[in-house]
Amino acid sequence: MMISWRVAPGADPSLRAWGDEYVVHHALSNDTHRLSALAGQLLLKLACSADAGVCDDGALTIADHETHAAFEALLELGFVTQC
Amino acid sequence: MLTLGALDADTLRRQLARGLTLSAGPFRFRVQSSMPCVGSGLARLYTAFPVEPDAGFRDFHVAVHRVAGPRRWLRPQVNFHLDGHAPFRPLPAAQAFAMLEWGMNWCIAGQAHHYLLLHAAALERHGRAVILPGDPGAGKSTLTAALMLSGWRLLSDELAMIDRDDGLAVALARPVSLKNQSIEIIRSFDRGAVIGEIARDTHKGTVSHLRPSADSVARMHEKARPAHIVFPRWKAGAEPSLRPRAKADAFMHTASHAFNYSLLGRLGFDLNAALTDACDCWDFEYSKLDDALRTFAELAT
Repeated sequence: MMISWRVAPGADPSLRAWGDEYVVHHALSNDTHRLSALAGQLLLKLACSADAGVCDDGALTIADHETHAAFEALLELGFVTQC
Repeated sequence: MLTLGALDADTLRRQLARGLTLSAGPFRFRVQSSMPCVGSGLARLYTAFPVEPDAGFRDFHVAVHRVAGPRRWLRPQVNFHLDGHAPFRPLPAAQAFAMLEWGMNWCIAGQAHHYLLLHAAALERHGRAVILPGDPGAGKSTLTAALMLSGWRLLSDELAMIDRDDGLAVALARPVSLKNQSIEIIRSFDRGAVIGEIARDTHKGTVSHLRPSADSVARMHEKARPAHIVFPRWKAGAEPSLRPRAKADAFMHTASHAFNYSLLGRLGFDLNAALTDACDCWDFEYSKLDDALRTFAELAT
């Protein structure tokens, strides 16, 4: 099943990366989290595409299992939502 | 510039009784107390600090007074006051000076939110600041004292302050808090170290304070660029070991040990990220101060 993801309303994530180490701040909850490399890259891509209007709706469509798991982790933290 | 050490005992006592304005880094404290041990503690440990005319704006109006009532004859107690309010429970009178120090820390930690306030020591050499976050028992204050006595400039022992405008470390240069065995360790390390009266049976154990170096006080308005974040850990018998620490891990650690990281919100995140960007991050394990000094000397070059 194909699922599309986008940045959750209000999350306004601010990311910092050092190599493949990521930390991210959630604007609404004011929480800071350390992310896995994959989750960080996905969130960064999602946030950038939304900012730059790369995708029509700033969303990514994901198929593979590992990536889906990373998005589930981001969903749990409140950074993303399904389209 | 009038310094506290230039005041004779009578003048200090009179000024302290009605309120003495003491500058510590960017802050001006109006300190009031009629307790002789507070006056002698200030004279001994804040010797080179400027005393300003008792007028104008002061950031904090603090006082340490005896607690009134019949108990004062049996077990005399003192309390700390900020703006006339007493936020803490009284402590034994013998802890008066320590209570003033803790109260001053509390004032800054609770209100100086134009800085990112980290629970960390900070020192500077050759224009580069080292930030030392430390869990209790990690040996942070002992290491800080030894570094200062070896020529490093003390920025702060308990409160590393990062300026939100430029990301630089701000100096306070207030006395270094020493606890339990570290008091004798530092006394043995440098026989010339000026250590204040010892307060026993405090909630932190036996406590005293070390006078900051003259250079640290003279340059307390000089900021420094952060270059290293070092997480020290004293371990009996350990060989000195300096290992890189993952930056994201260092970030999370400093954030969790900051006094106002959450309060600053996104700004706190940005300031801590910029600090982490600017610094090399290290775990440092040691057992001997001489080893630690050698390691830090290399960091400073």
